Amino acid sequence: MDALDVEAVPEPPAAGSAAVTFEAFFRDTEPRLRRALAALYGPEQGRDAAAEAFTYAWQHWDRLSQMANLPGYLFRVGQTLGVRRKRQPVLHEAPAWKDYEFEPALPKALSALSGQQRLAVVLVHGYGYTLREVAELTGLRRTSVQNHAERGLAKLRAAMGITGSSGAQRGL
Amino acid sequence: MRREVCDQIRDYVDTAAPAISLAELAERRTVGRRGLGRRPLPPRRGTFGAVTGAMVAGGAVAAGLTLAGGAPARPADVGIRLSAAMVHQVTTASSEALASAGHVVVTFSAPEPAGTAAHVSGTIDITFSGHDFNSVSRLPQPNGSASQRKLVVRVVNGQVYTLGIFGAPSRRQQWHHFSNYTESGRAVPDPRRLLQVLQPDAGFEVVGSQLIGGVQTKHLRATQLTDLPASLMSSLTFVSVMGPQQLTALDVWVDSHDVVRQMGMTFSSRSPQGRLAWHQTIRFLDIGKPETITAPAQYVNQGTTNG
Repeated sequence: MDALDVEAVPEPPAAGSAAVTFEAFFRDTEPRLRRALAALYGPEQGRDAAAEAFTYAWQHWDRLSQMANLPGYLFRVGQTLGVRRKRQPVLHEAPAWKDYEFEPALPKALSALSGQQRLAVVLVHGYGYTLREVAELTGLRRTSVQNHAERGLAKLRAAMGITGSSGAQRGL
Repeated sequence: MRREVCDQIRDYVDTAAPAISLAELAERRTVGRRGLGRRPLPPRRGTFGAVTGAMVAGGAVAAGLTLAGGAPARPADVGIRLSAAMVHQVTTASSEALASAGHVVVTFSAPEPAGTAAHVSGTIDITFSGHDFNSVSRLPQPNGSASQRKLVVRVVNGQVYTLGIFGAPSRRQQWHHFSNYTESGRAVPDPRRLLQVLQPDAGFEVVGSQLIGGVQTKHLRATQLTDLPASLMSSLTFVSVMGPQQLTALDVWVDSHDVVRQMGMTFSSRSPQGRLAWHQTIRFLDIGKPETITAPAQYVNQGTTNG
């Protein structure tokens, strides 16, 4: 099932803010919102909540596109959906497939963190989003994001039995 | 530790919660919402007819419909192993429903082409109508930048067209017609071939229920993948990986009409860097919805512009 090998075509740049389309907004925001809600509510519920939030935004794009911080608004929409669908106590668990490339203890260790710690660790340490980006998305203060990221990472390292400073020097 | 924690977090989150596509949102918009929940799709006439026909064909088939009904899986359903007739019913109903037209979105997380342990992710969006296809692939840039590259391939009446920029960078993007490309079946893989993986020997069991695109589905999982024919492998993966591959996990979600709504597949292979694993999720959308795929009005054919 090999696709025809053709030269890549770069994606067109996103439109300016005055004429931003939903597609451009979606492309820019989808990874951040999906990862944030997946961190909070588990991959299945979080992804579903993110998809619902984007669907809502698409349906009401004329009105919502004027919002100053639409990603932050959709994060709150996603939170509402995620909380209602959350299946406690398991948020994250080792996936059904077997040959994954991460430590099997990682999902459980993430589940053991508080929601805000999990959110901050995944976005800041996992994906390298800035404290400002995470703060804007979540409505938390930058200092709070930083504290949650640091404390969460320490708990995660402890739960996964990581010792030494090789990773700590990189914030890991 | 196998890898740095930050890399593992990325792998875990992006694999377990793959990227959402616009096509998926479009499906949700079509389905609509009831409060914060969602209602299932109304019965599709074409599929209903197909299922009804299958029911008439044999009493054993009806057992499949009972099992794969639209209600959430009852605890009694979980753990039930599908009989050969049930698996056959899913294959038949899905083949009938997808025979005319459909739309699939493949989301994959795969090892980098270099065969390193690093993973890349992307989507392949395929619309098909009969034997005509339109494929839009969004893949990571080779240089590792955050932007994506897009590949568009269209097959109409066996002729292959690609949208791209060929030659000097200053040339504009346009359609190209490959009149000498005789293997149009390889230009865009036919998603319907994935149904071949529904083998009775795979030992499918009901493991639960789940909403997929607003539709209540039964979640089936294969328990005996070693029994799948090796010849199937080349039909299953949308990702090119060197060396022999093995299907190590297979999940299938079927709706109340026994039509496959989603598949999840995990593959592994061996490389000099060790064992590689990758995952692809295939979502079936717009099942049976009429599509019109036409050849580009203008294209470049062996250096000349047509139209």
